[in-house]
Amino acid sequence: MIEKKQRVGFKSWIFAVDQILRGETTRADRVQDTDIKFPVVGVSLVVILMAVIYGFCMGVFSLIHGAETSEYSRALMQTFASMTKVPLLYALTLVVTFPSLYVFNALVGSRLQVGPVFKLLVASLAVNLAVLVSMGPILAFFSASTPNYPFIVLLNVVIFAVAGFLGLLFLLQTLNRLAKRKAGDNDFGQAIPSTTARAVPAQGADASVDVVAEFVQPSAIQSPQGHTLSRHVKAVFGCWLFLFGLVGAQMGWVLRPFVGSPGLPFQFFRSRESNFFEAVSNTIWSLFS
Amino acid sequence: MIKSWRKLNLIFETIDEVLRGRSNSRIDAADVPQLSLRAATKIVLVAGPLYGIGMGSYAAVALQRHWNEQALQMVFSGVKVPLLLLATLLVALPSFFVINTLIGLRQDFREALRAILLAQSGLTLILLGLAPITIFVYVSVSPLPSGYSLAVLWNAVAFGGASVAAQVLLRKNYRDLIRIDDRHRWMVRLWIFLYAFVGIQMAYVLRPFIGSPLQSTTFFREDPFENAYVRVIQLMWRLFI
Repeated sequence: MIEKKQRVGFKSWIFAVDQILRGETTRADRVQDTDIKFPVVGVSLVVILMAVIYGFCMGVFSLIHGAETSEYSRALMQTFASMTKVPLLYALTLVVTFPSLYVFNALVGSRLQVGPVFKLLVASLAVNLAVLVSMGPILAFFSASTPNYPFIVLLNVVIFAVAGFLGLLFLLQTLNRLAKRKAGDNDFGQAIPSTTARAVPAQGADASVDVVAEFVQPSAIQSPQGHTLSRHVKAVFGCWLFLFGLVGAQMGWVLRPFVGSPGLPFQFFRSRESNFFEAVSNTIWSLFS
Repeated sequence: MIKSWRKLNLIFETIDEVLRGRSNSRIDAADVPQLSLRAATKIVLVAGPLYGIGMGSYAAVALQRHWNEQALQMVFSGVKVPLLLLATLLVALPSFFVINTLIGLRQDFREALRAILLAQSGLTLILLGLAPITIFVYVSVSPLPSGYSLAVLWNAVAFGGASVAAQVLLRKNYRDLIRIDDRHRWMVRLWIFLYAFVGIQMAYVLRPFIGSPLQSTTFFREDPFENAYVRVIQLMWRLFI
């Protein structure tokens, strides 16, 4: 597909993100030499753009409800702040965790180099943000029609969690494929059983491995059947999950406010107090009262 | 005369097809022409307003308010029914699309969208079928002091019933997709969840659908928007404490 159509500029980057989402980029037979191939810079830019768009959806709350209680400039400032903070959240989390992720990855004995590790993380962020931005309309709609601040904060937490979960699933699967590739397992092409293959033509029974693979829909977040996760993929992933989740959640806390409580004056950063996990439980509590 | 008769016949054939959930037979009958996305949207845009107009007639039926005054509410309700369905669809669709892609079902997305839209047109057709009963209910409850509440209650029952029936239709329309790929089973569930989550709030925002006879006719309620879920939680909280 990529070879057939030469696309240039922004469109080609969108196309690259689409390929990542469809699982074409990380298809088992495409992942070569412990590397995945996609335009890193272009995809990163699209990722930033998606983050900005989601930031705008977050800002809708203060645009609609903040303007009722205080002056309009505050709402605009808050929206602008949200639009910069969402990309910042992911970029800073990546910067803070990348060295330790790489070091641990090397320690456990994976042969992934710095470049591929970085690419892998960018690709998972692309998945993460695509899911996030696709839920943007839902958030914007609820933000516009809900004056209740805790509800919007919790909705944001849920959306971020779902997007993060899917991004991490993608990370796990790709990590697994890369590891399998490296270990010299060549059973990927044929391992896809016909239960997931669709509408294979009648002569498919004696068709070559490649033909069958053509009719299988690749999935970015599912492992080909019959493959289990190897022990050190589990170890690397477990560690990454822990670091990424913890640092990401706390980074979100440090960068507050994202939504902007309608009762408070605008501030780019709030004073640092408490932590993410305590705050979520408090927010749930205040929804009831 | 014969021509218009044929056309009417064709319309009823289409309606029949939608209600039986047969038109999604991609595999079994490739030669049978399928209902297009456009046809399904058209049904929503025709049947939805028709039910809405009936729905908005309460004050005129109940209090003999003059039809000229009531016309505005009927137009509003007529606009709101398809708006509710299509706006919910638009808000919920992007995430459904991305998750479908991510899970590896992009190839079938067009078919899935058709299944969804057909179920929606089915929903409006079911509502339209209930419209005469709605008018009948209005006429019967209007002398009662709690007439308006009963009218609202009846509409809630009608919408609830039609939604359940439309869900059955959706699953029927999805049957072929599920046969091809089992993951579609989870996608239907995801869609129903997303659609209900957005749709409930959308319906709450678009109130009033019926129009209280005591209040003047407005498109939105005058009090600021509230969140349906927060309201329910708060009401339940107050109930228990």
